Amino acid sequence: MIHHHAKLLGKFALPSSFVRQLDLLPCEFYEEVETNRVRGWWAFVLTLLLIGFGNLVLTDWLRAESSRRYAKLLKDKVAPVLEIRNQALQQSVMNQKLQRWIGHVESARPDDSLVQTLAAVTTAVRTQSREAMVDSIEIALPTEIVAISSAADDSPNAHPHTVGKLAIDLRVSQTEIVQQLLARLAEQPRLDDVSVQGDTVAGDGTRLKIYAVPQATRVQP
Amino acid sequence: MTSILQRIADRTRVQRQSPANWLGRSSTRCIGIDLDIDIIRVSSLGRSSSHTKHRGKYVWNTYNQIQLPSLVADGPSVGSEKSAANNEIDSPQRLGEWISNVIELLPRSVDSFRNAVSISLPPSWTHYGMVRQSELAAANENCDAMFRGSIFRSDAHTRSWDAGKQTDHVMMASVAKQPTLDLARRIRSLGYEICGIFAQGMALGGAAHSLTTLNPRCVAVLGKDGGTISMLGCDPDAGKPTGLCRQLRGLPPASRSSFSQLMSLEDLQPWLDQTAQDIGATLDYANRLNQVWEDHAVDARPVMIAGDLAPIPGLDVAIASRIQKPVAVWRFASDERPLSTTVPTPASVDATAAVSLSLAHLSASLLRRGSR
Repeated sequence: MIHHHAKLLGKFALPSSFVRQLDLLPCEFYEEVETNRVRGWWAFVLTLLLIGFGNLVLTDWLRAESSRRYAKLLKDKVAPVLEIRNQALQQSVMNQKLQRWIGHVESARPDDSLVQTLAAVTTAVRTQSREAMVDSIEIALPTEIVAISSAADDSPNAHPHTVGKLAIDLRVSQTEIVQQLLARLAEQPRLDDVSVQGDTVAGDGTRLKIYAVPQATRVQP
Repeated sequence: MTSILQRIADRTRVQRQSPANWLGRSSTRCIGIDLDIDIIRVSSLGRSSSHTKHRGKYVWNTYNQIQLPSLVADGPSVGSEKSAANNEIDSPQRLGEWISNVIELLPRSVDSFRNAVSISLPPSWTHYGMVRQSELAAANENCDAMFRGSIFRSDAHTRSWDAGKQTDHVMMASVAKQPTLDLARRIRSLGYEICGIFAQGMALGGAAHSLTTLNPRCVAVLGKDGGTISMLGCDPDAGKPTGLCRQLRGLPPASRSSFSQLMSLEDLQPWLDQTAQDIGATLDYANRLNQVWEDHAVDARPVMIAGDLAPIPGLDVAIASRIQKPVAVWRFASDERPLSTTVPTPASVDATAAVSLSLAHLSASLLRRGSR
């Protein structure tokens, strides 16, 4: 029976348009339902859009905020460095200014290297003026600085103007004071490479030759 | 061996049938709610899945009767000659109270099924009339005036269809617009998806062939508070329904209170004569109007009776002998009945549940063909 019936249900089902014409429910109701459905759908869509928009704005704001914070951090970290740089700049400017002044002063001053060398020798020798007698002093001041490239070849004769030369002929009555004399000369700031050569015994004492390298203040490259 | 396999297959299939399947597309339950003044009858048809051969066909799943509280002793009646007798409920407050009771007592859906529901209003809420096509507008206005003057305090909503093939008469059925809308909205708010509201007689007439496998000539609902007799056909050319519908009177007030389905025919005597006469007159009128319905073997097709009073033993025979036509009691064409019925006498359930079942079937046919 159920088999039969189930078949019949399918077979004799009423067309829905037919059934609809018997409906006593005013169509306002269906319109209302439909309106609600559409409104609900739109509300859903709008909510979705709103959420998306809000999300976007929030993300944007957060990103801006974080980059702002990062920038602030960087600024804080960089401030002392900047200050130091500023100071360095100021100082270098100041330095340049001073250098310029030095240049001016230097250019206005006469070159007294020869006198200085003489003064150094005189100072060193003065105390023992009885025991040591200076016969002659030969001074050659350097006028050029050795270029780094040409410093490789070590023959000083190749560049006669780059190396100064001081040669003192003197006689000493006693040999003991020679060491004192050398030490005095070595103390002088303007003399380098002090050395002694030859001690020929003459009638009135020992003859010595002392060599050193004097310094010049105004050398040109 | 095969039967065992079959049974196992059936069982797994039942287990697989879940209320909500993939992506929340829930299964549908087709429900009919037959509202009456003092009782609600609810039936549901669902898709069968346990019978392999008939998967997807509808079976009668549940039936419930819910007694309404008796503050509304009698129905509001409109426009009929009985309205004088039903003067106990004459206030819109009572009407509102009745609607509230209905909403309160209707079953709630607690699962994820989609509940498609058709509703029928109490017979006394509907007014039937038959007018000429040309007078339809005037009749509508009359209806409006009448419903506004009644306890409904509302305009009428009128639906009309041809009374027959070759007449210019139209059958019109009216209900009160505002209370109907109100009821529909409130039932919808309970989670039901409303397919439509139908007059009892129209629902029965439409679904009788499918549900009973009989093709009745007309269907009469015999309730203790009144009923309807309806003949429904379809004009095959226009696809429009044609129908006749009229109200039948209820039991006299004295025997209404003591009503039970075990009453004897003698207790019903004056009503029985009157009703049989009404049915006979309606049939004669339909014959006279024209040969509307499928003209072959018209007289061989039975008059079908349903409603509270139909299962009373001997009633069908008594009516048949009075109108000289075959009479059949409405019976669902299946041996399967819902298990969880709240009805004390299941034997007579069919005729009582007929209206709600027919409504459920209308829900099903409205759903199957999709939109409105």
